[in-house]
Amino acid sequence: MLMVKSLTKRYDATYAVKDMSFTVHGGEIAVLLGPNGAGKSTTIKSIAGLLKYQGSIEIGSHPNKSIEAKRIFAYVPETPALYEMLTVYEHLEFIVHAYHLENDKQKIEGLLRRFELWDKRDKLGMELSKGMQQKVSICCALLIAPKVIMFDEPMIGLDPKAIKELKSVFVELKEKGCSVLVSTHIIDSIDELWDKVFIMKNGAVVMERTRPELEQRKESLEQLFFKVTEG
Amino acid sequence: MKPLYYILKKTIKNTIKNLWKKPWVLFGYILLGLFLLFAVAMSFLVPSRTIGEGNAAHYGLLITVFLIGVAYAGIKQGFESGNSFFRSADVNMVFTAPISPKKVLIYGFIKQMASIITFFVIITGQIPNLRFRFAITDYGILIIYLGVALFFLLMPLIGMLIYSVAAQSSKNRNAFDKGLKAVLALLIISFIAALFQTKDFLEAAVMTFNHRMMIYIPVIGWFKVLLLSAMEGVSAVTYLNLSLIVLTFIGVIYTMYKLKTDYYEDVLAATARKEQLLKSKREGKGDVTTFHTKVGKATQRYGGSGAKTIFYRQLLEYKKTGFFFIDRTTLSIVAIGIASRYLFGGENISALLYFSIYIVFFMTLRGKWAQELEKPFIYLIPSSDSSKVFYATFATIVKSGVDGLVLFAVAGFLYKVDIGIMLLGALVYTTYAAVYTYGDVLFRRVFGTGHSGRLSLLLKMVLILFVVMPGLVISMVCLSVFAHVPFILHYSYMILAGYNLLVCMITLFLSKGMFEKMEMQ
Repeated sequence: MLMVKSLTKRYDATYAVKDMSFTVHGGEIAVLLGPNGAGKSTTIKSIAGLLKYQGSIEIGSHPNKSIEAKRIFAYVPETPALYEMLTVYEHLEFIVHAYHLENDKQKIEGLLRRFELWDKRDKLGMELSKGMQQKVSICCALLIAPKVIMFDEPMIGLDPKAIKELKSVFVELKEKGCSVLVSTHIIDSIDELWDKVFIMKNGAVVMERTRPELEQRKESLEQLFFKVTEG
Repeated sequence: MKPLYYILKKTIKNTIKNLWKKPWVLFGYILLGLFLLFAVAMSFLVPSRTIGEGNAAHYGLLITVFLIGVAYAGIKQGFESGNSFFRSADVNMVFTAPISPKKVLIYGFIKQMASIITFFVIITGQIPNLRFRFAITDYGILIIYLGVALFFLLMPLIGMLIYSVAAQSSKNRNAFDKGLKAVLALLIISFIAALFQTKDFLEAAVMTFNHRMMIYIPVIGWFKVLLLSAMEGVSAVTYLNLSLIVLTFIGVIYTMYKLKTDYYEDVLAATARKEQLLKSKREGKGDVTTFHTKVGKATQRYGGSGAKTIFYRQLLEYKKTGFFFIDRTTLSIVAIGIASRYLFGGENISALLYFSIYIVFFMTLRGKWAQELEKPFIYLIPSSDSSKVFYATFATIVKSGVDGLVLFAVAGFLYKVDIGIMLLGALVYTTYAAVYTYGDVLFRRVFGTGHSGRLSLLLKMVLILFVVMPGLVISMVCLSVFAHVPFILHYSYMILAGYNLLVCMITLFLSKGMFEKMEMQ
């Protein structure tokens, strides 16, 4: 479970995120929606432990910066950041050791094949296109078998096949009881997958809805989004 | 040209306006301006050496090495990846606009002229020193400015032209590569032959680089004659060579302008690379040389898990770009060691030590530790903060140890000092690398990472100077007060190392909870 409570992040006098709270339960796919500058990336980076903040963030009941939390948490950043001089395969090997995982070569191969990276396994990080780098980033995150996973604009740069694979990965993670948080502003890309949506505007969650709630109102996610952010 | 002048005008205006918003940067520029004024005044006030005092051969050597070095790098970059006067914004907005490519080329050229200011700053700082050592006349100063400006304008143009030819086929590229390698081999062979003959590095270098044929090498030779006239006076030969330079300019621009107007494709990759380099520089980030580094194959067994993995991964990266920790940096260090014998008179190895602890500051800040913080992995790995800091910095310190050993082994041989001094020199060098590294850790812990790269660097320099100064003072005082004590140099090095280790321990202790406070940029 991912729990964000009274999250506030300030840059000098400007609030990027102000007093934000939300929870993503195990087996839930939550979506963080919002226009540019709404504070999505700041929220995501705070959850990933990359920023200082006020408030509390818990991953599986542990503070997000604790070792226990990091063990069960995975993050796919918006801009993939790979090691230029490590091959695709070496990235996964690095993750195996860094996270004290079992060196399951079959699992690595399976992931790489699934995202069509197996034949690129000896390519260096700096030789990969942005889309390929994004795929490696996703494979690294999935290798951890996390209990909480967070994707920041994961579809950008991916080819249709990889997008399809990623969508089925979301569903598999959900079935395994993982809390999935996806930040995006491309509503179509997650329309058929989400269980819960948080719409952000000016650094705060201005609307929280579950899928049944929205279906009951006979509203589409897109309609809701524009109503909230432009209304 | 109107829209292009508009970009230039607005860029200048906004840059100046922006300075008012950043008083620290403005203050820095004012300081730099004052320094330049002082340096220019000093250039004219410092009495120059007379012809008899100044060593003309050494001046000739200096400018030839400078010209060959810049030309070599420019040509190599030219055929490997091209050169560019442009930024990504130009590619996206100017290249696609309905503006003649010829005008765009002129616009790029004007921009390039602005970038030469940096070289003027460097040259201005060096002129008093040059006047102090050589018989540079007053108008000679202006000749140096002119020569350097023309050279730095011409080389990127030649680089662009070379790329246009080289990019047409791999055969052309190989021909350039082989040609350049042949010239380099010829220089090395001539130098070795001269070394056998003279048995002295400096004399051999003078003999090779001041060979009478040098002035006949196109471009390099012409610039050499021009720059030599700063010392020897202007003559008909100077005007002849200046004319040749101007003709080369016209020829290269004409070729680009008339024959090869479709140069946009040629500058795309170079523009992207330039953008990346500028970004890294602006952010004060580490390894901007990755683009030029050849990456070989290597394997690494991970002898541990968790934070230790960071060290093993860095070791793997070192293996791919060198032989374990020995790489290009180590070779540069050896070159410094050899050059120091001539720069510092070859008698006092401590002068080399002090110089190297200045150099290692910049090397350390470009090390693996700084690069590690640019990626999210280190923040996400489930290990304690202290172990992450330790293992992420360990490789940088071990590498400095190896570099220090190589440096002081070579220098020790040249300076004819005992093995104890060699080992202690290497130890002191390594402890300084450790102080700088952990100083950087503490700096980030206290001040965070959201500042401009230049400002951080300046602050770090001042703070670290403040921290290392007591050790240096104690060691120097001991060295002068107890000059008669046997092995006092050994003891003074031990004092330095001991002091630095103490500083490292305190710094590491103060850096506790690093990743609680750190923010990834």
